[in-house]
Amino acid sequence: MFEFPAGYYADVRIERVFRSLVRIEMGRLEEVKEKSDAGAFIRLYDGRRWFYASTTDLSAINEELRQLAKLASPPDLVAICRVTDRLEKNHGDFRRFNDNSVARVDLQQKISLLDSYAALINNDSQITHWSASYSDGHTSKEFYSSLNQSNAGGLLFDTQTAGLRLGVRFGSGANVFSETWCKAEVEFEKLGNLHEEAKKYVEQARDYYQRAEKIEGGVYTVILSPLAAGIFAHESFGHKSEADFMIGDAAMLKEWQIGKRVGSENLSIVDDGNVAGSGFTPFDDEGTRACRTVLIDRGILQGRLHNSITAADLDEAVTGNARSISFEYEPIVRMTATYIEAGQTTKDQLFAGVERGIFIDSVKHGSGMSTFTLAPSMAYLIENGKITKPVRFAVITGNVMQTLDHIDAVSDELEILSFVGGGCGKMEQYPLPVSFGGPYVRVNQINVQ
Amino acid sequence: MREKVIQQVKQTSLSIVQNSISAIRRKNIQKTGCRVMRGDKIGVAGGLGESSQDELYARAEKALAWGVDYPVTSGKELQSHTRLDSLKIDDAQLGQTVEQVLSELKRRHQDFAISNKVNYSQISLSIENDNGLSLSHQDSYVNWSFLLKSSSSTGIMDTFFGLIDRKIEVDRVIEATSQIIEAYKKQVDLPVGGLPVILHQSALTRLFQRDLNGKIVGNKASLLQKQFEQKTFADRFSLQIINDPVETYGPIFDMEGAICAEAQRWLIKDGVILRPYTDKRTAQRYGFAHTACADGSYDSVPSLGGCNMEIPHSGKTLAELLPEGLGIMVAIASGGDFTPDGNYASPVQVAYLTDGTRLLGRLPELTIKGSLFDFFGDDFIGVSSDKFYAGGNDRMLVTKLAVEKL
Repeated sequence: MFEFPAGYYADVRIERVFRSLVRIEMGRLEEVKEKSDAGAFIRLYDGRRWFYASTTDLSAINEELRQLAKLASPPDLVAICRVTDRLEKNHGDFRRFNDNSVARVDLQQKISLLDSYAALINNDSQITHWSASYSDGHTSKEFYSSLNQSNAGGLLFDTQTAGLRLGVRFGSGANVFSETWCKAEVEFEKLGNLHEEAKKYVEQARDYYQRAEKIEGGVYTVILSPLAAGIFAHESFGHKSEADFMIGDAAMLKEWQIGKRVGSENLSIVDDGNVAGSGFTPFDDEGTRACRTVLIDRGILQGRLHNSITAADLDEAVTGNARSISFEYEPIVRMTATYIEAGQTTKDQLFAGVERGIFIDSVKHGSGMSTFTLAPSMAYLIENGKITKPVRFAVITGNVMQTLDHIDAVSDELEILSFVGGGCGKMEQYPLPVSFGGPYVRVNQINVQ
Repeated sequence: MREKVIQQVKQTSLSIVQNSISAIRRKNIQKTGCRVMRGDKIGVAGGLGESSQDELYARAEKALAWGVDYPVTSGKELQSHTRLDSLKIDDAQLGQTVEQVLSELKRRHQDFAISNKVNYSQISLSIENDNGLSLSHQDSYVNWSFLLKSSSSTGIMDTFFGLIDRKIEVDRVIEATSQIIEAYKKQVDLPVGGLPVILHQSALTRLFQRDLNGKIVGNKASLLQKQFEQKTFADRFSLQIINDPVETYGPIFDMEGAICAEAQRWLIKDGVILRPYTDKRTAQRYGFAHTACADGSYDSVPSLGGCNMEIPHSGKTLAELLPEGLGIMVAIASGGDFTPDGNYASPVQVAYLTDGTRLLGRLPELTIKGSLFDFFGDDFIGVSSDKFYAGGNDRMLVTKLAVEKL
């Protein structure tokens, strides 16, 4: 089928994408879009450098392969094998969403669904601005490589998300508050009965808008919701687990030695592309099957995330984390579904242990280098083990490694959340769908600003 | 009425790992969007590659049935063609140039590693319609993006150099990157007495993206709702829409094919809030001036997203804006945010002490805090007339903020 240049490693990834979008703002239908696209990403490796091309002309893939080979040096077979020996040679048809593809759902049904959610917030005198959107995507991928030419059918797999976002803004002038309810599933049908959940969330936001008070900055014990814990795990530790930051770097390898204690005994973090949701990645963009990678096990560094290049450099196994945002980009090491594992403490016990602290329920955004920050959206004061009132402040922040060590308890129920309308950004590649979550997580000595 | 949007990106991208080029990526992708406007409705459709325009228009025609409101007049007979694509470099030359830079930096700084990307892009965007609208924008530039990391560091990165330029000035890239590395290696204490803080404008003007958005203002949901036509900020503080392709690396026209009129470009003038920014739909719906800020992708219904805005420069250089001769240059401030009432706080992961011409050393990790009404009010100092090459060749904002060691 494809004419892979002799001696080189080469692969071809073809993506066929269906997407639709419906957006209503302040009661008006502002956008309706439905589209199907296809494109291919082609890679060739000569043992020294990688050569990539992306194209929308699927009939030109063999020509692209020939052009890439012209750019390359003569193949260094030893160097090539050092990378490709680690690659899995999966083949077969693993598509699971063809029968219930969002492409099969009539667009009018999607508009009607969104209308039913928009009705929850329309004509509400306290909501000064609102928007509601439905978006979905079904991506089918075909993967062919020079390692697996006997299986001409290649590897076929797919991913799918369908989701809703309701953005509301209460108030005017200096007293304004914005919040977004977002829910994503892998099937359209699962979005049909979430109205009560959405309504409850909007009412919580209204209460926050009406009652939230400024709180003095300082050092507090903080309880993170599953959403906040997931963002913390993703931003503060997940990115540090991506092994492309360690290539050829002795200091990083020494610092991030497997077996080293990096957090408290209450902390375990996992990345797993098998989890259904927006991080679902049954195979990565090098054809590697998803696996459950334990990054931290009870405070001890246990693993990291790889593509074939980083796995070869660190002499470790691939983990199914070579991902790209589209056919226009090369796969780089990315997270899938990243979460903190549940512990033994009940949620009530977790709160009961806080004399005066902060509960962060929802988060606008987070970031994490040596210092992490979370910008809360809805946060609450905890007094004598109980949530007493909503409070306002800009960010919580702290040293990542110290904070990992200050996690003193996690609750016993895990919640992994999925999203539409955004994703993870790394260098030039944004947005990549991911999911994250955790139990409720209690952390001491957090700086509130 | 039919309207066509064509976007083309031709790009060569070099990946850098540990001071060496590890990969070369080439792409050349065309995206075409077609719009049909009839009555007060719009239908859109888009496709990749050599799409059949007849088919796209047929799909856009069909999409009219969804009833998306678009009760505006489409652009007529406006013609504008900008060509800034004089930078031509082939893949081999680009590779040699980047290798030259990496080699020299490696020679100078053996204790620092460079990674990430250098991209050479040739881009074009055009909008044409049945009413004689004909707009196009062509540009070509190199985007240098270096993550810089000390060999003894255990973080993902320590600092960075980033620059978009229509020229390839190898020596300036080497010198600016070297200056950043040297400054990073030289730790200095935070001087006592509040020094002014130097930032990229967008770090602090982003609140205006939300609170001067015509939809937010039109629905009376802005933080600044009660301050329109009132003096709210310093006399010397103004904010304008900027659509100069030389400065923005974007087209002069918006995604509705409109160009902001000179008389409407000021959002804030001499401290007085004048108007929100708008697209056609928002301007018509709420009775605001049309400022030509429609956003969206090639195949979207054009709508109001954000806009390019800038505080005009003060006529003084960065050095002249530093009353004590020193300032705190914020290089990386990740994770900051505004509270709904306009208070800003952010950790600063990397900051340098500067005299306005050179980076003098790396300051400890900091936090910065302030209120919108102060840092663009009495505490506002100005925007530099000169561009700071090591800071991305931008004009820098200077103001006072509360600064503390983290």
